[in-house]
Amino acid sequence: MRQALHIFKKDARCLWYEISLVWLFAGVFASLHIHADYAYFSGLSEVVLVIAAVLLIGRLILAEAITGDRQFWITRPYRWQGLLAAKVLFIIGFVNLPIFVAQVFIVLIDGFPLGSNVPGLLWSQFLLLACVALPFAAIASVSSGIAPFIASQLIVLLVGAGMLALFTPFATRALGGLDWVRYSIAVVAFGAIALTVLFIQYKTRRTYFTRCVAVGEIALGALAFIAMPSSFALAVQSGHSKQPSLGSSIQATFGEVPEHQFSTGQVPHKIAMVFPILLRGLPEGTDVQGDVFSISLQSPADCGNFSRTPISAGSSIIHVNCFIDTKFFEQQRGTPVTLHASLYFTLFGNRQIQTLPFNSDFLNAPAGLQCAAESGGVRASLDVTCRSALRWPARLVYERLGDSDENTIPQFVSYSPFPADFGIDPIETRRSSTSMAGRARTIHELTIIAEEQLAHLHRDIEAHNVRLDDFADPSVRRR
Amino acid sequence: MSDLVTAIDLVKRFRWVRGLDGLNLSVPEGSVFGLAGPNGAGKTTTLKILMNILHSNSGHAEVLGIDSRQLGPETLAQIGYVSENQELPDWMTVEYLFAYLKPFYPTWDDTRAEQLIHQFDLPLDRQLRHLSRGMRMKTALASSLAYRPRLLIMDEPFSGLDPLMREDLIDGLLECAGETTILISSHDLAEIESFASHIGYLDGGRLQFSEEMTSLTARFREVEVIVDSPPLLPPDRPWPAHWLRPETSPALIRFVETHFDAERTTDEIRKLFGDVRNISALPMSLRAIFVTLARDRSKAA
Repeated sequence: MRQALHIFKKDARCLWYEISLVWLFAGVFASLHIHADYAYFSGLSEVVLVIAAVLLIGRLILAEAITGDRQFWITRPYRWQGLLAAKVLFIIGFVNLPIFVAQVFIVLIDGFPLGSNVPGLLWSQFLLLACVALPFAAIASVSSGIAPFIASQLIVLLVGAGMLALFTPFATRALGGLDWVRYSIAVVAFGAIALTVLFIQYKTRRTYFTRCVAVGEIALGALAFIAMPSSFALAVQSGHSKQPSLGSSIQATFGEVPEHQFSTGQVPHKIAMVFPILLRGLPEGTDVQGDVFSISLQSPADCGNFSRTPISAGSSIIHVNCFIDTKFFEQQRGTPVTLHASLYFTLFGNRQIQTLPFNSDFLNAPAGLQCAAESGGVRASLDVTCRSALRWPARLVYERLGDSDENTIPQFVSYSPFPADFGIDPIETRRSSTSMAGRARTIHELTIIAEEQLAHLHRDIEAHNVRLDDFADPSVRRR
Repeated sequence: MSDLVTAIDLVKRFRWVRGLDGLNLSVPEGSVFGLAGPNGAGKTTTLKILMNILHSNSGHAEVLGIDSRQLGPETLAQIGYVSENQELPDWMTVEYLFAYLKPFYPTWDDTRAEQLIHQFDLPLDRQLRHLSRGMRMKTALASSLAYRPRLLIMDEPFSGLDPLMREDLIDGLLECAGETTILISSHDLAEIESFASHIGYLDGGRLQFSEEMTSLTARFREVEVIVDSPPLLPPDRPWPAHWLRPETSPALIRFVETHFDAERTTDEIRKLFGDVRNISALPMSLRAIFVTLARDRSKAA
């Protein structure tokens, strides 16, 4: 540890200029957050901060470059553990700490309580370390200089983007709120690959071997990320159900197809379909949200975008939008088939309701939110803006203006049990806009409703002698 | 006297080129071992393998009794390494370099460090990037001698230095010789000759010979034989193999005797050429010995 501290002090002395830049950009990023007018520059300063941090990491690792045979340090009695510890300590002290301080400043300035957000702030730093700092340190450790380091980053980014573009069509469909399971695999993979590369490089300095190991690990990680089945995500998520037995009475069947035109948009060479899933036996006081839908067709169906319509007490219908290949549809449309489908869904309940004055200042709302409302000028709309520290809560959130209907705040609800999402900006803001021309003056209250997740469930559904035509958009059915 | 460095059948390939081709080497404790050889002979590769900077494809090397692939901090703390092409931390001042290195070495001697700084006239407050090549070499050497290493490995330390700088470096080396075993590779044979106790000649990735300096200079002689009539060597009697670069003229025979022994060499000359008018055997400089060997090898090749 003494050697690690000794090297750490040397690096701090050598890289004081780069360290100052990171602190400066962290300060600028935090300062710009105070003024909403500078939101664009805040985003820009975030990018600059990341670039400065990455370059600092590169310079840090390359101060004792691992590759090559001319470095001064490799003939001196360095302990690899001490050297690696010094570098990690430096990253925590001069990359994580400035960002942490900036995040704390922003959280406090926005009026969120610090105490309850400390776990989230720490988790956010862990994610930055695992997903950004250590991977870039690993890249630097197999680079021979700052130019190859930058080139390697570009190559990694290009290859990453290429892999995403190539494999996304084959990946399992979006997992909705369960997607955190897949992203957790990515975080673990990032961290594990980075740690392995750093470990092998610092211990053995066998760059070619390390690069081969890294490529193998990246391939395995990508495979795990892409091929993870929905059932695995649900199995993990079910473990986090608050009341797993709650949905035992729920039955799912195919329901009536709506007669009105679908508003699903158009995809070239695809036919829009809607599969209505009728859920009966919903426990009283609960709300339901569809997460993942899969249907067994000979052609892949891209399903998502769930909309829920309550029918009666204890019954709701979830409409799932899917796109299937036009050619396949035309071949099969009139033929009676048996459909097998699976629906993953979540029950929400335990409503928390808080009524706030109609105010453009952010006020505390349920689930750790802060919300404000104001009437928009040009479009004569009423805007409700809610913000949350470090992540959007894993809840369904509605807003109600005056005595109007409840309106969902546009959201993607992640069921992640972790206290922060990946990112540098610690504040997540979402906005809901309602057209209420002429009514603004009569509205004096804003009600925020939050429902927590109670159970994550799965139902298999089967329907015999149905025709695909029955589920297509009415305009298609008439053809 | 035990060996501080041993290498057995070292082979190192760089893609399709053989850098070392079965190198065997022993450096006795307390010696100043000069490793000489032409460009590309494998001197730097040998030293880098010994320092665990490069790995050999086969063979085995030990440094201070430790497998060179296993050299750890404890062993490196007893070894100094100075190379002409080593990348030093240019941003450090000389003073900070010494202060930074000190905690790495349990045997660091502040008095010795101060003495070296004074002896080499090192500017303490100047960054390494602003030092001349010679001053950088002196700084590297001083930083490697301050902890009184058991073994000092130097790769072409005199390359590109002016005579004064060379003199300073050699003085520094001579002061530590004895307590420190020195393995030095150099083209500068005249400099090596002035202080090396042992010499090894590396060519084609192999050590062609390795022996004590006194023995080497004693066995090499430039021999001139003055004869009365032009020498005619009988066809069935070739030149002895240990006579290199033989030259003949009507009244003179000249060659390099590689196994000189006054009595035996004279006998051999007389057996081949009969009575001769005069035989002179002049000692050779290390440079002359290596030029002879290198030319003989290239001719043979």
